[in-house]
Amino acid sequence: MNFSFKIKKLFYSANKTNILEDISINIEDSPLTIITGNNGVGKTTLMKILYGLYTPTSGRVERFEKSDIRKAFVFQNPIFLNNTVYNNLFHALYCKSIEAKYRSEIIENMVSAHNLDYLLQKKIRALSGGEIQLVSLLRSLILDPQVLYYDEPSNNLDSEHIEMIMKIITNLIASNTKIYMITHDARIKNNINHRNIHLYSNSEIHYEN
Amino acid sequence: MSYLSILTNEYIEIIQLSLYVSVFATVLAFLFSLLLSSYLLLNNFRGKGFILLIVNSLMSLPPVVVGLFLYIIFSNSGVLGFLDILYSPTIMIIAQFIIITPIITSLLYTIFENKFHEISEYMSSLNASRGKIINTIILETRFDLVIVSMTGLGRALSEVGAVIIVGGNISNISRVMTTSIVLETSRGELELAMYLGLSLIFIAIIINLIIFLIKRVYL
Repeated sequence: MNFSFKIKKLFYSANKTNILEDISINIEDSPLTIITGNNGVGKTTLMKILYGLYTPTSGRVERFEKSDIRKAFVFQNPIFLNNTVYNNLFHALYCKSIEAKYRSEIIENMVSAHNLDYLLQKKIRALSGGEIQLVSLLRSLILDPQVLYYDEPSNNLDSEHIEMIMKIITNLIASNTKIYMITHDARIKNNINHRNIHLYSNSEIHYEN
Repeated sequence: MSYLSILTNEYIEIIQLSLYVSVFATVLAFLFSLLLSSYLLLNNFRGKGFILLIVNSLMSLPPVVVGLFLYIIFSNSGVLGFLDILYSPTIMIIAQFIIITPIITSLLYTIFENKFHEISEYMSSLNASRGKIINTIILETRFDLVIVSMTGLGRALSEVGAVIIVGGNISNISRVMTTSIVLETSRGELELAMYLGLSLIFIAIIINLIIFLIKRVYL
């Protein structure tokens, strides 16, 4: 059996509050791994530790991936520059040191592929909650990730946009992009094959069928 | 004396010198503060808190004290007296630079720190370099930076205590609006002092109008 992560005796605390306590689990390699659990159990924290954004207070996280792997994180509450959608996508490519001459073409191809051209020149502050979620996903996809970490994809989305997200996720999986996702959305869970890790409030964690 | 006749004599030069000294000092202070704030933001080192404490404390530095120190250092018997810049616009720029740099640095650092907290997680997820982080912060806070520089310019233009000590208020050489107002008032030329005062207020209104328009259009 192949593993993506082996977590042993993981503790994470912030502001003198224990968020994760004594987590141990071996996360199997899977095209889509969904993390579930009640509010406040530390799902987002766990995912940020897996991504490498947070450093555990103690314990060990062993990663079975190449150090130069392309990965992207779609935040539940995404942060954007106070600018247009185009400039936000451009900025993500700039941060990833994609050559300037390719950036416009990459952006145009990405938005065209998802019929979201109409969003390109809109200011972020003029977008609806659903559009912000979509742009946040686009901003990660534009980096052509091999592993995508996706926190609550169905937040603020209507059923039409959820269909769209599901289609994108299915296509990503088909093109061998590995996805870790936090969601409770039954439409996603029921329609896409996945492994489900459930995190309990006592920090117990295990696979669920 | 009519206002037009005042405009044709040395008072034009006074206004020009005021603007030259204050704008020059503000540009230098802004560039220095930009570098210092960026460095302090991106580097954690022992003594950083102390530096920030000093910078914040220097915000309330009395200008006359700055003038006095510079006078002692740059007077003929001072350690830098050989530079012979006392009673010149150069030392007036240095004085204003010293007075407004802590103010600009403190404001910039606060603005940068707030923006850094806001975007740091996202920038970390992109594995962005420190240079790209600071470029992004400057880009995101660009309108705040204009407002900070205008605040610095306003402070420099209205300063009188230091420039009168180090500049000497010499006609055609180091006389600026504020020092001139002091002189004309002491000579009883209240009309002239008032015209200069009104000019200073007019410039202050223009600066604030620019800030207002920037806020209205972009923020």
